[in-house]
Amino acid sequence: MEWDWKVILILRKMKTIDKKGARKVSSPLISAIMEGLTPAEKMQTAVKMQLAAKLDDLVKQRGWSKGEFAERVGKHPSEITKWLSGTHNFTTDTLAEIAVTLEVTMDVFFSPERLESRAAHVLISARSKGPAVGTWTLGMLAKASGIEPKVKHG
Amino acid sequence: MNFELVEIEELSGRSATIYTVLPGGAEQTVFDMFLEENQGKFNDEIKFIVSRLYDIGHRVGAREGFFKPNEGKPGDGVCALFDLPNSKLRLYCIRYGNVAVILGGGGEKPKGMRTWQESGKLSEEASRMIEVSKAIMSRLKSGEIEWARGGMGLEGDFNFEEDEDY
Repeated sequence: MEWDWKVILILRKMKTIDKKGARKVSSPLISAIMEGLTPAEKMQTAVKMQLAAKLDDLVKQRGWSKGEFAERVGKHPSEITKWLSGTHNFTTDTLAEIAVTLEVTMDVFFSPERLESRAAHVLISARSKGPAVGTWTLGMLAKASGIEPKVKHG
Repeated sequence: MNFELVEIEELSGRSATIYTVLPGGAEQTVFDMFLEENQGKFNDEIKFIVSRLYDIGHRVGAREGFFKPNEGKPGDGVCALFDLPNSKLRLYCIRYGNVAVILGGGGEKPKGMRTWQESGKLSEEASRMIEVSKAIMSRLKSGEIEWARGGMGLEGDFNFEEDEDY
């Protein structure tokens, strides 16, 4: 009887091992487009994306909704949607307004991320079967994982 | 719908895995078709889209704010990549949390057009992603595809046949 269970466990393990990730494909077209980007264009996109990600983290860390943040910073929620889209060209004046609202210094926006999405996801997955369509807030993640959201990406 | 889900090597990274759809019998992925179709007319937008997707894969992950939600049916995750303020180019995707995105196709969405149903091309591309989402959901439910490596990527059978019942 015990032997039967061992066989079942081995077979299950073998089935898991058999599963593979999706086939990786390389696209010469994507490579060519990326090669055509100037260093400045790459950095402009990276800065916009990074600022949006940082802002997203900071707002979530405070447990504020988008609407609540909009109210605190004195903007329409549609403006916050633009800020979080990773397409917005922030002025220093806007960043100063945001910094005051969030009670942080301006350099926070340009410091390395404290919690990268992959690291966050690993923690989520440790507690659940897999990601649902949608996202977790940092507050939800911290609650579920039982740790403070200060994990540095390895 | 007959297709294979493939991972795009250039765009996938430590922050998110970027997939696209390879239709049955086709040599080009749906995302490559999108790039080719729009490269001439929307060169700046295409460069910006590729650059953004690279950053999503390698640096910041597929954050909710980067995508316009509710482009498909309720709960199917079909969305569009947020574009430049005056851009008329629309790219459809399916987002799974912050860690995985499936890129589809898209096309021109002129100002004044409110929904994708008003354009034959956009209807085709959005409907394709609704079908892809349905097929993947079905395989996730059946266990033929599952989240692996601590939830960082999908593993399983990524070949979908025409006559499958979702």
